[in-house]
Amino acid sequence: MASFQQCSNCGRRMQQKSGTGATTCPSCGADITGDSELNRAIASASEQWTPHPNPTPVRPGMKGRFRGRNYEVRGRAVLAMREDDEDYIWHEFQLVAPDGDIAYLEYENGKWKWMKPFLPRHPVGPEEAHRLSAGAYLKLDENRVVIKEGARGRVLFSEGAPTFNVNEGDQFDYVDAGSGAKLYAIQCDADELEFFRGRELTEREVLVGFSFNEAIEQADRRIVARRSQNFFATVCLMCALVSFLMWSDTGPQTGKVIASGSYAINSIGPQGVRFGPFHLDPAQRIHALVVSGSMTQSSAWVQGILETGDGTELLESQGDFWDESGYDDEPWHEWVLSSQSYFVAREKTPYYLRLYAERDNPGGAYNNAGYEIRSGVRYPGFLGTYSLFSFLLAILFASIGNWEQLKRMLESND
Amino acid sequence: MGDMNRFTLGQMGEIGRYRFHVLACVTYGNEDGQWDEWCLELHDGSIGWVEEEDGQTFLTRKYWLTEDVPAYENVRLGQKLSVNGKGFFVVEKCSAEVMHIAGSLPFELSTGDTMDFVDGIIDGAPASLEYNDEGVELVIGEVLASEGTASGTM
Repeated sequence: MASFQQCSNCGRRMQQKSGTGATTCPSCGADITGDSELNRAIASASEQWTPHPNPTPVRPGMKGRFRGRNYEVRGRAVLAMREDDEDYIWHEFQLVAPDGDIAYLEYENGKWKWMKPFLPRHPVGPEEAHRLSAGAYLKLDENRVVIKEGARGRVLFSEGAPTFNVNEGDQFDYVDAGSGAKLYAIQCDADELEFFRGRELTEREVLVGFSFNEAIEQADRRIVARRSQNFFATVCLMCALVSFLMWSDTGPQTGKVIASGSYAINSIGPQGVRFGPFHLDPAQRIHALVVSGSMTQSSAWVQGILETGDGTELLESQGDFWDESGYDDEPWHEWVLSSQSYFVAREKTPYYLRLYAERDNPGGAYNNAGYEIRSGVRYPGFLGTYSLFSFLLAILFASIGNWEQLKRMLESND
Repeated sequence: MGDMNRFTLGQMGEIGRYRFHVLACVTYGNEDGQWDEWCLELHDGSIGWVEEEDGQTFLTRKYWLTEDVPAYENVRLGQKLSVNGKGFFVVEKCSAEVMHIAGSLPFELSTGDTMDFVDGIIDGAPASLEYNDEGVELVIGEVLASEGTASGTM
């Protein structure tokens, strides 16, 4: 891997030969040491100037403790499988304990796995493994697990000093399987067939294993924030659900009828028919004016106008009502025979209701046009709006709280 | 390849349920690396070999083959062979050379000798077919312990 130095005198950058810490600038002849802060920064940056920078804080040479055993990270390999002209990459770190125990940490899309080699009681060969498709069952030991993926992988990059030879371009076939927390893998190249089993690790477990204290605190803060966001999202969802249930029990059928009347449609003249007076109580807040019609195989326009004593029109409710029946494969009957308007009464002034009706087919079968004034109505708009708003808020906070997971899901579906 | 410094030549001690006497150490090597195998005389007079892989310590013993096995070049990874009436699942093939011998072996073996190994699994236990100039030997291993205790005097 190339690393670079920069001359602090003339600014020329040059590649640093391995094993050398001091050199002379070929441009200006100044002495260059490898210890300057600038060169350390450049060396650190050049560490990441690989086509496959390490996205994790784990580095070869680090020491950690997992499952009661101390390990050293011996090497990192960047592996890939190709699908639909795209490389899906993951990183594998080999960990070696002083007693020779070997384990692997795998990192892919923010998720960690802890895997160890083992000898299965029911091994499966590469040919048989290739015949198993995703969703098929596999039983290597006492656990029956589901095949998740089988593909050909290759080594893109390696660093460190693992206990085995690994070279860029090496190819291998693999099968991943799992069930719940248990993970299994079969890996095969030209010379060797290996079996691994392990489990997923949380980010926090990896950070604790390597004693990354500051990162652990950050991870804990993220967990707390995520929990709060999820809790708030749950509360919003509950509010949305309750509001929705209450909304389903709203509308003009709620409330108390304080005035009603009806008149034969055939007898309503051009001036309409006036009903009242009646009083409205502003304390009852929302009122509803419901206008209805009754007819058979006919249609008519019906209007109800709320007016004051002097005939000032305040509000109306109207509709083109109709009733129709027929027969296709079976008899059917459809109708629209009511309309409603909601209002808030501000005064107790005596009110009147004038009813109008115009028949569309004078020879039709018409009964009555009617009205109802209801008070204390549960207005659907408020609860419906609140329910929708709460639901959107729940979605928003659930998305914020689980953004990383959502991002990974979207990337994996791509 | 792990800490195999738990043994020294001539050491006597206990490992697992066996008392042992260390006779020799053979270092094998190939392009993938080197590994040591310790030759022990066990308390029952038999010869066992201790080797370590992936942090696990195995005590292996050699057995006579009671049926023919395929030639080394005809064995494939993932193949299930019938070896002494048991299923032998092939997981690895490699060749190695004897790099170094320390101590005194109870049979002929020299530095530079080459052997072909077919490693496999029999009933969940490690096993190996060792192909040399004199024929094929079956080796079956027993996992001692992940940390492999060995105590004793030199």
